[in-house]
Amino acid sequence: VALQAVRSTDDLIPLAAAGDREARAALVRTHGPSVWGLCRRLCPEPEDAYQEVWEKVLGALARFDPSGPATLRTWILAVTHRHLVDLHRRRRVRGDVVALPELAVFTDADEPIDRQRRINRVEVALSILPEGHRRVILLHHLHGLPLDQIAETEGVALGTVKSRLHRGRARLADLLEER
Amino acid sequence: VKPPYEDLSRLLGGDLPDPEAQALRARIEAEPAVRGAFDALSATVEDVASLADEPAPPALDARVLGATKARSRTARAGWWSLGAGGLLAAAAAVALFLGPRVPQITVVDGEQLVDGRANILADDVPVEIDGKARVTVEPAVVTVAVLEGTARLTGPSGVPLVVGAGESHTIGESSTAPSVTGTLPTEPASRIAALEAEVHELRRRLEQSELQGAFARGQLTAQQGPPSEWPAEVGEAYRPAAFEQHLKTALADLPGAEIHALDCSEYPCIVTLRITDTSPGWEARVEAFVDELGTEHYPNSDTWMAIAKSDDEGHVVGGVGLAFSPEYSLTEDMRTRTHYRAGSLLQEIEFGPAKP
Repeated sequence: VALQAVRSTDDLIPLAAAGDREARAALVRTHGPSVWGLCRRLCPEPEDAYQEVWEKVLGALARFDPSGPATLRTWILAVTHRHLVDLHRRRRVRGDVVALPELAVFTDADEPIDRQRRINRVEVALSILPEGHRRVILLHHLHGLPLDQIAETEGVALGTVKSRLHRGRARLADLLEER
Repeated sequence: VKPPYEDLSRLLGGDLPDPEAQALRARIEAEPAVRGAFDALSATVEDVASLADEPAPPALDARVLGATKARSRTARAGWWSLGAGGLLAAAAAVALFLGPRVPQITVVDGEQLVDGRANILADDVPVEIDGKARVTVEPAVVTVAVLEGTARLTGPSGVPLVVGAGESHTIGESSTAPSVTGTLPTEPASRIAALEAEVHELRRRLEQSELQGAFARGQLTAQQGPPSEWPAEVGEAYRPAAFEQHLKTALADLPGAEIHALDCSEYPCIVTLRITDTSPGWEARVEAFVDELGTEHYPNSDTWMAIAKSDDEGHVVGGVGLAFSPEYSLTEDMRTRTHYRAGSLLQEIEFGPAKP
């Protein structure tokens, strides 16, 4: 497959759905960081979650309609979100232990140290938030998903998601001030 | 007095009703502290939006593309923290490093034992460990004690230094400033003696545990109790369907309370209630409700109940955990487990002030 001719990742969908390895690699390269970012910040076993999400995405790709209302990016984020909610619920009812999230601490040596320090503090404060609050904040602020879509995937009312957002942001600001 | 962050967040999102919004805007104009809190909140939102998403480890992407069903679980490092115990819960943990990747671990409070290679973010201090070491984080103080190998850390001034085997270094209010030459600062004799004792104790603990995965898991099991399976024979009233039904019927007589979570995945069923009406006397009303429920449906039962309350500037959040079991039927492990399960659920309720 001559990927040079491909104009956007949407064009990769039928190829990737058909199992083309290069097309799949291009999708993973493009959208993998967002998926990985959510998995590592929201899941105690991010590697397993990441692999499971991609199994779902690649398995359902043939059913994704690029002309529909959702972009490929939004759809992949929604699949990721749904999977992470499922994992959270399963962990909750089983009463499993919660592992500390893995964080990218040494991300960029060129970052000014104050900026890097601030980012590290935000990552740490985020990791302390209740998972439901963290999920809403990351999906909304980092990935730009609208709150109504988040509410739909979470299976809760829009007001509940807003409440989690506001409480999460308040707690985040509080933690950053404390520290 | 804590800043009204939650209301400021609502204002920022356009979710604060008009009269309250106007009043809060007036406070922002008039009170520097509130203005500062608003600015801090806005900056926090921008910080989150600017976080970087790095690519997944190449080996993981390769596994995804290889369409293999293999899971990483058997080769993953495991470091564990107890979920209960407050938002800044201590992370007493043991790390095992089984794969080639260097784990990144954040320690907010408490201690982290390391055997192998790891990059630790201890409070704000990055620490690279290659060997056996303990990193302890207390408020504003980070201590790195090295048993074997080395730990490289970067102090607040950005100057790197190396802590060798048998040495310890503290960054924070109680420490001397890190040396620009990278050598350890001179410690008073008493401090050295204390550190030697600490290293000795650490060595003893490490030798005892041998840092096996079973140790980490066993340690947690002791504090959380092993999962508690449903007994083959138990009264119908204790089973999930009946428990839920009795509960919902009884709740009709307790206005201002709603089910937060109902967990019957293990024995016994646990319910947590969120109390929305926290007017004076609510605890007594809850206790009366539990008495009534117990008398009606669970005679000759043990009752496990916990009432949780947080009070922030007069905004009270109430939570109740409740479980019934036949009298004397719960083992010590089951009690531990019940406490842990309910405590975890209650913690979810206690995340912030309720709106009046």
